[in-house]
Amino acid sequence: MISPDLIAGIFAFLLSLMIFSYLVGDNPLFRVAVHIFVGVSAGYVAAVAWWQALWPDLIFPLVSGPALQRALLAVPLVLSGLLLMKAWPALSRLGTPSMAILVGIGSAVAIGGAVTGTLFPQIGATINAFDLHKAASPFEVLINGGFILAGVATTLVYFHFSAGPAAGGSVKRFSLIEIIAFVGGIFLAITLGVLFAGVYSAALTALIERLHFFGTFFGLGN
Amino acid sequence: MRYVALVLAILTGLIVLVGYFVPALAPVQDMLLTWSIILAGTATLVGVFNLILVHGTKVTKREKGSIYSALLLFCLFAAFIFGLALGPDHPDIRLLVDVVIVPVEATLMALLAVTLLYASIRLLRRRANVMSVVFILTAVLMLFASATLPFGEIGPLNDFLRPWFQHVLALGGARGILIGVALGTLTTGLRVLFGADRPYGGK
Amino acid sequence: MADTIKCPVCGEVNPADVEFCQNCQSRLQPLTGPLKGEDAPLTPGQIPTKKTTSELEPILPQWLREARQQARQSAEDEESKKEDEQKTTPIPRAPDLLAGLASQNEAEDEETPDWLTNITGVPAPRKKVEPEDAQVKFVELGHEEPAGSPSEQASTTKPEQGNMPSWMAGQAAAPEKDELADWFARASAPAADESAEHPSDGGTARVEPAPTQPEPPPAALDSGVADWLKNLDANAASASAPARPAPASGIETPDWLKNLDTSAPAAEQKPVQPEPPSNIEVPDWLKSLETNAPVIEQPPAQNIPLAETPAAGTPPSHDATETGSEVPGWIKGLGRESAASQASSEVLPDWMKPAGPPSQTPPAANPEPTAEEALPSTELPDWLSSLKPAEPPPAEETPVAPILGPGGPSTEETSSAPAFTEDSISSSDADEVFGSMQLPDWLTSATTGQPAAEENLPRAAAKDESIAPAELPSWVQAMRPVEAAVQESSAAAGETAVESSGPLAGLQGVLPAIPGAAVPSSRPKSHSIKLNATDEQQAQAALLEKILGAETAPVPMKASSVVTSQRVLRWALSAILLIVLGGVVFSQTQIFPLPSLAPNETNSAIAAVNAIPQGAPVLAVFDYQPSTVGEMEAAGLPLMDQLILLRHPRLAILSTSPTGAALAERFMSSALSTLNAQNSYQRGEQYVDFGYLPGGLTGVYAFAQSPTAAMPLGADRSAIWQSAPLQGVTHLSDFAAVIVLTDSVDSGRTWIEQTALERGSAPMIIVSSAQAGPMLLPYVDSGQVAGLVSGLYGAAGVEQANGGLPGRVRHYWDAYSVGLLIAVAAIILGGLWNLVTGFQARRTQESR
Repeated sequence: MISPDLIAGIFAFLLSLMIFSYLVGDNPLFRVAVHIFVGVSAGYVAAVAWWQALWPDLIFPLVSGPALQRALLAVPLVLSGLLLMKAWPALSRLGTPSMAILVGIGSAVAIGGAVTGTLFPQIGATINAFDLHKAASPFEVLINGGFILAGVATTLVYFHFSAGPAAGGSVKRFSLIEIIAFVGGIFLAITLGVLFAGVYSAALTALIERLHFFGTFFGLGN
Repeated sequence: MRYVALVLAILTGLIVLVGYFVPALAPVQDMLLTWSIILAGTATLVGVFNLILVHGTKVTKREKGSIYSALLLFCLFAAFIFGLALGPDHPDIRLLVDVVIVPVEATLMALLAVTLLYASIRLLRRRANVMSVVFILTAVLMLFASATLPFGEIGPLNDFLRPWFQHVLALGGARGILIGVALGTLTTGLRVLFGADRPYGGK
Repeated sequence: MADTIKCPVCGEVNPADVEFCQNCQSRLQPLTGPLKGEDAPLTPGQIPTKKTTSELEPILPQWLREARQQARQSAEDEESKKEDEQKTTPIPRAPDLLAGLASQNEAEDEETPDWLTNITGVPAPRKKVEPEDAQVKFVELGHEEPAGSPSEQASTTKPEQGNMPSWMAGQAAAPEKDELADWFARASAPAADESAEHPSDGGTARVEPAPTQPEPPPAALDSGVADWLKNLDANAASASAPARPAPASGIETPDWLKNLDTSAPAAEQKPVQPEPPSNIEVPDWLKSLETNAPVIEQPPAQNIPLAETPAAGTPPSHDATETGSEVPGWIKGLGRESAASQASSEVLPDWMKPAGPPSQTPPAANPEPTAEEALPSTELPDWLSSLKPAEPPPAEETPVAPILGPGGPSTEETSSAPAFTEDSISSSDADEVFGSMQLPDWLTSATTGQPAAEENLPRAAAKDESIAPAELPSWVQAMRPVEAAVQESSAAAGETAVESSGPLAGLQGVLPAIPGAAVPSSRPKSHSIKLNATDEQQAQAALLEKILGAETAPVPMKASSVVTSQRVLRWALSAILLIVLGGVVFSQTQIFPLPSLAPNETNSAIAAVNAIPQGAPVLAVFDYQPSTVGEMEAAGLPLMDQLILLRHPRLAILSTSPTGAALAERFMSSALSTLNAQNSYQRGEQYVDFGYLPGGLTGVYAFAQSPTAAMPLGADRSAIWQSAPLQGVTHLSDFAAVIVLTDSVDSGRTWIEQTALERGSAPMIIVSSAQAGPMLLPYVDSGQVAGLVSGLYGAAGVEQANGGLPGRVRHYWDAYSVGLLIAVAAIILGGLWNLVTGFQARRTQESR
């Protein structure tokens, strides 16, 4: 008797194998696996959105909530109905107000989070990098703090794209900006190199996990 | 409709933004945030509907690859119906994630290892400049420092160079990026709240 | 000039690029490409260069080569045996396309090949003769109509139209376009004298470029004169012999001319032959031909039959006009000089009337019929067979022979033929016309060589004796310009002559039957297709063509090999990784030790976990995707195991990813319990699952502001806030810690930013994928995050600190280390290789 877990394992194994077939090249097996994945994911996400977003926040309160809450929820209900019109091009304009509310609230939240969660704390941390109490050696603090400060400043300058007219009718950044930006580019390269190593490590771990899954499937691993 | 959308975006945004600093607006802010959560859930459904329309059109018009679209729609409706019927928290629905979604996505991520390795090898052929060389050297250093050898670790590499690169040099760059992103988020959000940008289709 | 081309048949002006005349459908362009030679229209990117056309002789038809060879041989032989060669010997095989032309008297009813269209007097557009100028219009063979009025021409041609093929009908339908008749009509004009006064201008200034100039034989290249032209020169020399009774056509002319001569030996032998030349006006080109001939002794002008040709209006010419009603005009001019000219032109086919010579020789005196008959008809091509006379009437054959030689009757006939066509183009216009045309070098030299010719020309011949338009048949006229041109420009003999019409169109070095090179022709426009551009312009045009061609040329698919190599490289990398890592994983080796020291941020995370109060509510956010489930579970399990094992927290699980809830449940119910049986947390008792929190950062902020409002229900749609794990929790700050497991920088940043104000003193601990760790470190450095476990490397430190409990990191570590080392080796080796090859490629590209 084949157990459901074995069937699930075989199916997962086959899907993994079909995706791995992409190493040889694009092929129908890969496409089948991808389309199955997209279909299942979309259906699952739709079910999740219904049960874990609309139901607890809209449907359930509308059904069992107090009158005031139900009245207030009429607005998001209407907005949700209008937003659904976005799926049909002819009626997509009706969903614009709902999208406007989403974007407006999201922008406000992003602004608040960026200011309170990143800008001030990170600027403060850059300044605090020279806190002599953070390390036993003031020299180490100064060196590390200096590098961090240089890294932050030059990286920001690197993304400074203002330029002035140059000879020949072209535009060019100021020389000082160019020099600082070059240093910022070095810092960026180092940062991206570290990130690349992290991404490869994550992908390598995923590969190992898949191989481990195969080993487990065939009883070679644990 | 255009001005209604503009007014709604600015009004709701300002209320939520002011709510960060004015506690009195917290109830209104909470209400708007709840509305936003509901609309976000609805937007997810809109995305799924759009996917159904696109692939449904392919199937009805028998375009190239319609068989794949049919397979996608079949899987979509099956997962959605079973998900609606049983709920996403049901073990059988979670099994759907374990059997289909996790293997496929994890394998796609595994393929990325080969792709990244190949790309890193080809990088210096494509673009051999200072930044590329620094990038590759840093990556090699970090990869080598993240591994151990059969006889143990390489002390200075694991104990000094890797932390220093990661906590000093890379941190400076990362922080610069994060601050830059925050500044970009700030300006972009303000443009939306001022009505200069209307990504919701207000223009 | 380069934009249009004038049809040599009907005179219709056509665009230069059309192949056939829009009016009469005659071919305007050479037939074959490979034989176009240098006179062919310039092809894009081609710079005209001189070519030794003798090199192209092998491509000639066999019969033509033989004919040419015979011509050369005969030229050599005839130097020593002039007298013997006066008797034309029949050519055993059909020598050339003109052979037997004169015997077509009765063959006109037969289907005539197209090439004869240009030979047999297709009326050319009327052109005004410019007798005063030095520009000679070359008349294509057969273009001239019989000397006489157009009405006469019409009267002679119309009866034949019924039996004519279509091409003949076409030619007969346009008698008004006859050039020679017009020229002849003006032959007596004083302007002819003017032309005679300027012989240097006469034959050369208007000499047509060489497209149709016959290719000189190799033997003639040294002197720049083709053999057959030498023969003509020799004829000119022989014409200087006083006793020369017969034309020298049979002496020095090529075979094809010999063949022509064979039809008129009687004309050479007849006693009256010496007379006509004295009365025939010699065209300018013939004067220059004689005077400029470098290889011959300059004949005395008075001895030159051509010089003796009567000028226009001289009695002999008038005599010839007496037969105008019956004979073509040019025959009239010839016939006036001999009794044979009284031979009825009816014997001639009508189409030959314009081309046919006057019957000067009594039939009995013509020995040629036997010689002609001796020619085996089986060896003749069909067209030649058709040309072969059934019965060679003397009156038809004799005219041919006199034409060939510059002296004697031939000169007489030549002079009787309108050498200069009446051309509507004035002198200045003609200068413009020809000036706009780029003349070949040989022509240029010929022009420049004119003064010498003028000097050599006796005064009597050059001036006093006005040259009357010759009454040459059109096909004979075709010979003259070639002769003249070659004599005057020996250096340019290497120029190729391309047949532009007829069956030999496109061939180089064809017989001079097709005029245009040196014979005054009415079809200069036929060669006007040559670009009017200087060498520099042509070079620039060629450069432009090259540039444009480079732009439009398909780039070779060097990618094929590149793609193949890339694919092989990708396959090799895949194979190495899969085989090596699979072997390590399947073998379950634990050779590579875990890092002995955990990173500082990891230690901070461990410390933060250890600082969580016992049984405190802890919010665990599972914000990672299924793609990184392996890494995130491996990285999160040690910390969560330690947390659960040591702190026994009340866990609340939340996810901002739709699949996060399922992954969280997988983590809690499967992975964690597998790791440690003691960690078998029960849902609803030790932990609760909020499920999916929609809205991204808005949802996170909403949850931070009011968890109960944002997530009123649990994943199982239960009243989650009344569950045991969440007792006493209404705000975010009520959680003892917030642990975020994420593989995304954005997700971690969102939780950090949006919960910063609401989290209170609750520490945030992040377990991240290695790909997000570096970007989250600044938040650790800033103190916003209490600790960070990044990837397998960070989890290894946690696992090391977790009491030595072997976790998933240990199972993965060997393969992980091997994979990293493979990457390091591949990047170093491959990078160096590509660096070197890249530099080489760039250097090569720069050098190019």
